[in-house]
Amino acid sequence: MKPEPLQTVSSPQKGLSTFDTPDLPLIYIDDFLPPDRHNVVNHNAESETIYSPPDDSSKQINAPVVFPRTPPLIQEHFIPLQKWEGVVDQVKSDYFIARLVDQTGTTPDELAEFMLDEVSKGDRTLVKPGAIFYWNIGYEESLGGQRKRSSIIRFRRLPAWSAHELEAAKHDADRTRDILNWR
Amino acid sequence: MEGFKDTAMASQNPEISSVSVVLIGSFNPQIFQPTWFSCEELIRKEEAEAAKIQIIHPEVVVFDLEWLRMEVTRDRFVAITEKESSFDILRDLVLGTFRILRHTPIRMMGLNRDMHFRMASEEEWHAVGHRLAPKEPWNGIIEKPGMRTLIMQGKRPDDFKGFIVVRVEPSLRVPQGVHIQVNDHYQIEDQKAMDGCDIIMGILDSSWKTSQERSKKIIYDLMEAK
Repeated sequence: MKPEPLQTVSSPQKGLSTFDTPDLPLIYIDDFLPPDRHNVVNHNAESETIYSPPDDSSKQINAPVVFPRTPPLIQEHFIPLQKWEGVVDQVKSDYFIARLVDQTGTTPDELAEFMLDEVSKGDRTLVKPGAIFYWNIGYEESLGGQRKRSSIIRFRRLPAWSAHELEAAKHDADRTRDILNWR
Repeated sequence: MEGFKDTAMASQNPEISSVSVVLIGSFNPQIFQPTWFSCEELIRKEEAEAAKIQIIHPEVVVFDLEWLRMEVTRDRFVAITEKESSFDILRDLVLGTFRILRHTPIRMMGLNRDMHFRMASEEEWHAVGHRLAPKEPWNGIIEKPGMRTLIMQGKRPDDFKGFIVVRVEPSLRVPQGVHIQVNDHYQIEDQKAMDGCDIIMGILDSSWKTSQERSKKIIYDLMEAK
């Protein structure tokens, strides 16, 4: 069987790659060089001498956008221990009750109470019956190696369905019901 | 699936783990600003106020939140998080964004999973390269062959159009580390993409969990292969 063309694995400068980290590595693995990257020669210049067949010349290629390389996103490493998806069942004055589904699949669904104070202020307006949230428990480890126990609750944010989308969903449901002849 | 979880749990934890969603289509970068996301209630107001803006320009927007980096050009949208507790939040943000901008033509999507592992010893680090790229075929052709990047492409195991690409290379971020990336690539016909992004977003919504589990399994299988 003929393999799929590799075009979308080309460099992102051509705007086709769905990789997010396009950089070539600067070091070799296995025996050639030590793992100490500070002693490594930058070999990227070599890649300029590799022949690559030109793309279809009839297509205009836009000038590349080159992103500045920025530092790593976060400075703390999160080590997950447990993860649940929750659905708010009832909201009381200072707490709410939710049904939790274990995302690691090791324990059955359960009900739990959460103090509203455990929810970030920016998410409090989202605490309503039916709202979905994610609850992660784990360790946050700093670059210095210091670990701290962490419990993170974050509510799902999705825009409300539009009238058009609701109508389309109703239409699909009607069609399915007709196919099943379910009255 | 349980077998996969057991395998994953038995393995060493990655030093860095990230997911990203890369979309290829036609975008108006200037829309994608923290204040817009906040006004649409896709992120918290406090997050928008604390955003670190790298650049806002008609051609390119780059900004960071505590848990997210976003890079948008006219043909490429990238949202990435390295915070494992925010992986699903990233999916929701992309879904929410393009539920609002539903007429945006998008024709390709990459659901990418990256992990950087620190190897216990230099020997183990070298062994990964020896195992995945044996040196025998190179003997006498080049001196001291070493694996710099290995890219393998495979068929999709489902009915979607696209492919799966796995890249293995020395980590640039973790000393004595191995970086493995899985590019779970989906694409649709250009004509369908012109109608908007409902199809691609439907794939994102329905395939996210499967994709994440599959990519994780690929990475752990590679790390544990003998």
